[in-house]
Amino acid sequence: MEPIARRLQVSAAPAELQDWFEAQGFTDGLPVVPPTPDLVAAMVAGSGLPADATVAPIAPKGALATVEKVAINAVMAGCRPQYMPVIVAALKALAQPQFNLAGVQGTTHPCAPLVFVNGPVRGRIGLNCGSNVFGQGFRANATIGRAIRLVLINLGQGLPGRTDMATFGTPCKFSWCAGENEERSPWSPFHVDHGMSADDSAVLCHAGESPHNVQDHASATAAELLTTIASTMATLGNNNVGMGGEMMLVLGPEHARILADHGLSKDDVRHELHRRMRLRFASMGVALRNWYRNRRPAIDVGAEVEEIPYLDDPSQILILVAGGPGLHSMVVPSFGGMSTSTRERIPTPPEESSR
Amino acid sequence: MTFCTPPFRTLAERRREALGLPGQPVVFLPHPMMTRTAEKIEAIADQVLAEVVQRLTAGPSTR
Repeated sequence: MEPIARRLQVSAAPAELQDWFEAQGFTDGLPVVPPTPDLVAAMVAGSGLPADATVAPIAPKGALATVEKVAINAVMAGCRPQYMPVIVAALKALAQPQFNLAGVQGTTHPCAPLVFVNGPVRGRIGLNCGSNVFGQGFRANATIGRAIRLVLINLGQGLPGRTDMATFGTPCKFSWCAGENEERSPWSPFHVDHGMSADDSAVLCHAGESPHNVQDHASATAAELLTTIASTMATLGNNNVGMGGEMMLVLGPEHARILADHGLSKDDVRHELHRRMRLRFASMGVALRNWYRNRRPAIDVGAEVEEIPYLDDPSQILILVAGGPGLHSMVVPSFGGMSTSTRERIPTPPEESSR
Repeated sequence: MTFCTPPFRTLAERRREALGLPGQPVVFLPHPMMTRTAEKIEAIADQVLAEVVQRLTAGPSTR
């Protein structure tokens, strides 16, 4: 296949080549794999789509991501061609209006797109769902998330200090892709909860703040464990308390097992957490108290009210199970009500569906 | 019309180009806005009102 994108002749000397990519502003700061025509063609083929097929406009610039342009960034990120369907689905999810990609790219808040993958595709591409699921060591996780970031830079023009105004940013902005540990979950997978079949594959995109750990090696009952989790979730300084929106709870399999063994469904967990998560006005200064009161029109926040629910509704809590052995879980607050998580089905490649 | 604070100038410009609205006027407010009291925000609104009227009635803006 002949590439549609413009061809450039650049130095083949590795150091000069990397300097050139950096000088063009094409990178995330790390060296990239040069997107030669043969590598890009193989990456396009991995998508199962034509090179000129439109994927989505990428905010804030709004440049149209075609399959070929996505493939160029996927090569640069170090992806294998078989990752392409996941990347394409994730970009379509990020471009859904309710995700508000322009806001996520531009905000001072340190949010990054967290791409959670469900279904059989996880096994096909070697996506880590177990120990160190948010960490290093797995090419699929590392490079799918990185490819998405490079698309956000090169097509969306999310440029630090110019259009990406994050005060701090987060290491999660380099790459953040994980699989749900469906095999160790006591409940149905996230995508099945949302109307898909267990044989489907899907992405969930969440504009997440860096994950906050919940360590609890002591609690043996659901009630005790939920108290610890609620305490980690209901902190004063994140976007959700004043701006609503969704919070993600990623339960480690061992914590999930404790809750399930005490008879709780995911919906029960949501309601029990919502009941325990309280915003106590006595724990904050007057200015912050007034600020929160002004931003919670759905509930009574009169001067005589001492505490209110931290979230307006239990449905704001998204629950997944991931990670390996150990009594830890992760809370992932979000950008707040300015962004709602989005989902997309991942098409099964023709060679897989014919088996 | 877009209201934003100066650190978001480039973002606002990219966004209006992406939306096909190159003449969309942008009025800048002091940064940061989130910590202002209601009284201060009303005072800022009074300060920029004349500019808002002028930009809305003067036709497509330049940057």
